[in-house]
Amino acid sequence: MIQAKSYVNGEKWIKSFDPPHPTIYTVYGYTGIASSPNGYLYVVDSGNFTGNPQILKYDSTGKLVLKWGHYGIDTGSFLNPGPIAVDKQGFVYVFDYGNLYGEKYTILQKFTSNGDYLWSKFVRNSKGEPLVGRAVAVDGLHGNVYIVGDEGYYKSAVYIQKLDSEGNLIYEWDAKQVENPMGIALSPDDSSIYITDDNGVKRFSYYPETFVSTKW
Amino acid sequence: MSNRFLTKPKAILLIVIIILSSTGVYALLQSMEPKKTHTQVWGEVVLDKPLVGAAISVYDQNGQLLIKQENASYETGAFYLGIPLISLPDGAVPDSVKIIAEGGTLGNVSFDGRVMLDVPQFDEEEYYKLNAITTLTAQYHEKYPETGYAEAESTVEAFLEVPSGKNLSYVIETMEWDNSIFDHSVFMKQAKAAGGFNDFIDALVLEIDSGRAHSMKGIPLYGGEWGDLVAFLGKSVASGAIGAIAGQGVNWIMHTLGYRNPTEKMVEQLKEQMSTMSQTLTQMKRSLTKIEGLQQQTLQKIDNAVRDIGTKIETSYKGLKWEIEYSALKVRSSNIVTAISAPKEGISTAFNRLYQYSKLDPSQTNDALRNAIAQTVNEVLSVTDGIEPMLMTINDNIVGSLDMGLLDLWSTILTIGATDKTQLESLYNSFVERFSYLLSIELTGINVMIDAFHAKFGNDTKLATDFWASWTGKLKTQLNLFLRFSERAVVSRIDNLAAGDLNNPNFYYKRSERSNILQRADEFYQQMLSSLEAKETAPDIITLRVTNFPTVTSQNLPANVDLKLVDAQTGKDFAASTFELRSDVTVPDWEFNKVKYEVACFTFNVPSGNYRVTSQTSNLIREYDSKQNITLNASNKFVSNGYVGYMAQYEGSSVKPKLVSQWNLNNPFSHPIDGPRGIAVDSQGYVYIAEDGWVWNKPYIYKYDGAGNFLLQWGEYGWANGKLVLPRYVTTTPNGDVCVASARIQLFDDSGKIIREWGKMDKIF
Repeated sequence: MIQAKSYVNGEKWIKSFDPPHPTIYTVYGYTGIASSPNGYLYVVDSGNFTGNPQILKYDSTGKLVLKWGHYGIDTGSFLNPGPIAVDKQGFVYVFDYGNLYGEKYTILQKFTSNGDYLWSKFVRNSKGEPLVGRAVAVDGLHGNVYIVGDEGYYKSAVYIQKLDSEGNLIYEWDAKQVENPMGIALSPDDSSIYITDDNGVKRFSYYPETFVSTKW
Repeated sequence: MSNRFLTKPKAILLIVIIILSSTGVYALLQSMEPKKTHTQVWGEVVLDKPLVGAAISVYDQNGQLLIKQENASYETGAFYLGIPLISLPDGAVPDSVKIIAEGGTLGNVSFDGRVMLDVPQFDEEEYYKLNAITTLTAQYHEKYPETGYAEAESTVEAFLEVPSGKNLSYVIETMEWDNSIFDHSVFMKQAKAAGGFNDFIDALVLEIDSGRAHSMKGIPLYGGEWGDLVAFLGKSVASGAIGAIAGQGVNWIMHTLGYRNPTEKMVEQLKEQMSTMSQTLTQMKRSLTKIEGLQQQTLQKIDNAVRDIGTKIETSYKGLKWEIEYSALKVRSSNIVTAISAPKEGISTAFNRLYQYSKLDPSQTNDALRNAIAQTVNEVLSVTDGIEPMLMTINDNIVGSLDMGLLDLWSTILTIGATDKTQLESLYNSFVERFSYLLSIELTGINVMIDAFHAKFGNDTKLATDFWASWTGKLKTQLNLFLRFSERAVVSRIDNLAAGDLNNPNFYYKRSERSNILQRADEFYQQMLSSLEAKETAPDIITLRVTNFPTVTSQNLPANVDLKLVDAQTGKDFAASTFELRSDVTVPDWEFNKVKYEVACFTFNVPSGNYRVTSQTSNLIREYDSKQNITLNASNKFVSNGYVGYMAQYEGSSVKPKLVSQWNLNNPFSHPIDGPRGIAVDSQGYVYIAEDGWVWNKPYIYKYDGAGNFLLQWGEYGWANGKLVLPRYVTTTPNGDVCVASARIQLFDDSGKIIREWGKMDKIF
């Protein structure tokens, strides 16, 4: 039994509830999902429950057409895979989380749509410090990869990075407005970046707010 | 073995000797050299695992037992026997001996075999490795004593099918990480099947007699894949405390570098490095063995001495008239026993206590007791005669090897690691930090010895204070020097790289390694240079986005938009590197909200500079600086081919998106740690957000338009079809459905109606 207290308009109220399951606060079964433009659905099985981390590929009818990956640290295998993104050509980007001497790190791996391993990169900021990648998205036009990550602890500095399709950093910025980011998505024309964080959703755009274009 | 700390006094001594040798002072000085009182037999017993707690015996070639120590091998299988010369029959270890390890446990299972090694030419500096191969050789030699040692070895070589060009000592040196010729685990497996270690050795000798060969190759540890490489690295350094530490270092560096798929060349280089590291580690391990052995023996001696004192006190009791003094001594005696159980503090305390005993007031103790105590103290002190040379060994081997090991690792980083200066520096910093930690571990071990040394001379003597101060001072200086050398090396390396000067001699700490490192550094330099060049020419990207208006049909758009990008200085045209027509895209954040537009994108890869966008058929001529964000406003419009056309967008590497809006979710139960998790945008621009809601059991999927206007939300906690439990990840399919992943996969349509769900992880819930 957990009791939570809150003050709303100066009035105290208490809510008691039973947590749904003792383990699921930190452990989730599927830890990522993405769809490709031709309708395939890629789902990440974290392996937390099944013991076998892998990527599952379903077609649009829900039929399992492919799965790959296993536990390990060699190429194409996973320790604790997380968020996933698929670009318009079907290339798959997956985060894999690890822990080395108490330091959390994230590796970004790229696969073809057939599950063939292409490359993996250590996720780090431009100073070279390791980042914990929280979410990943790919833009439609250039296939650039957007990552939102932080330093791995509560309310740590947040970085948003844009990588090219080879994983090289194009730019990054220290997104001070974001706290504890959990998700990232791009608008269809790639002009806006949506990020979910503790406080809701934030939209970043290349287009300055001064833009007015309809009145001519 | 060079002795770093005595170098200067020795040099002075040498000068004095040269001047005075003719006068006979040389002989006098020579007689002042400390007399050698002890010798040592040391090494390790490692089969597939280290043999722990084995009894080690040393026999001469006639089978005469010289010394035996029970429970002599430590956790790493290493052993160290310090032997008083006076206990040996001839006052020295004979030339040929046989070392035998018996009993003990092998991986927590008690071991009943006999592991042997024949030593044809004993050398106290030699580190002896006992294993299955040496046992087989020794057994064969025992059966046929008339064959020489060398012959026995070559017979076993042939028997084990050692390839030509390699010999048994090579196999033994490399077996820790290379099992391609001989694998201990294969041996032990077969031994188990044959009924035990000794029986199997006997059987093998019979097989040798029959003239057959019996290869015990293992499956190669290293097979070219990264996982195998890590295993290879790990196994090769996994033995011994230092081995483990340095192994983590290598592993850590590889992880830091992010190399999960190294090229063959890198692997070759690493293998080479590993081989060097392996040798370095063996040296370091030897030093540790020595320390450990000395420590154990000192403790043992102190223990014995204290017990001895107790016995002597008991026997002198009748002569000792003061019962109070007796009980006080009893208390102190038990204090010592307690103290020595904590090694580092213990040695020091125990020595001090013993000194106090030896200085008991003569008027209050009888002579017999005082003499007995003094004798015991002297006995204990004689044990520690080896401390001083031991400390020198620590310095020469551990600290020295650590220097070289670190430099080797560092040159590895130089060769395969960073690709730019920032990364290089940050790698270096973390490298120094990590190894400072490793050094501190080493120093802890050294401090134990320093304490013992300190205690030997006592806190109150000037000699001990001086020596202790100068020793620790020198040690610190040395470590600082090392760090500074490394730092300077790296900094000057970086500077040299920038200046293109590869011949600056400041870079190299060890000149003998210079050419070797230089070659690898050259490769790194080339690699870095090319990556720098690549970066210089890496173009900025200018994207021109073209949106027509609803009145325009999409078909003829690409042909009619004749945007051109021109270098403002040279007038040079840039061809669009990519062009794409994207149809049916909603751009909801614009003021002309929720209307479908045709969007065409032209991408130009350009160097930094000023640009002009032109269009023959439009009235748009604008200039852009590639470092400047373009303000999009009405003046950016153009008219193309009679249509009202539109604007351009710069998207260079120096321009970052800005925060333009934020919105809170429409959930009264929203809570910071309960907040929104996954987010997805469909092709229409609608935004779907998953909130797992574990605090309040209020999971929701929200639907917003791109501007943040709330449209829809659904969700109810539960495992029933279409209900949600901890939805955390969401995506949209091309036809606008919403797919949610939690402990199952759920497909909803865009109004939140469940279509199907599957993949539920039943095992857990």
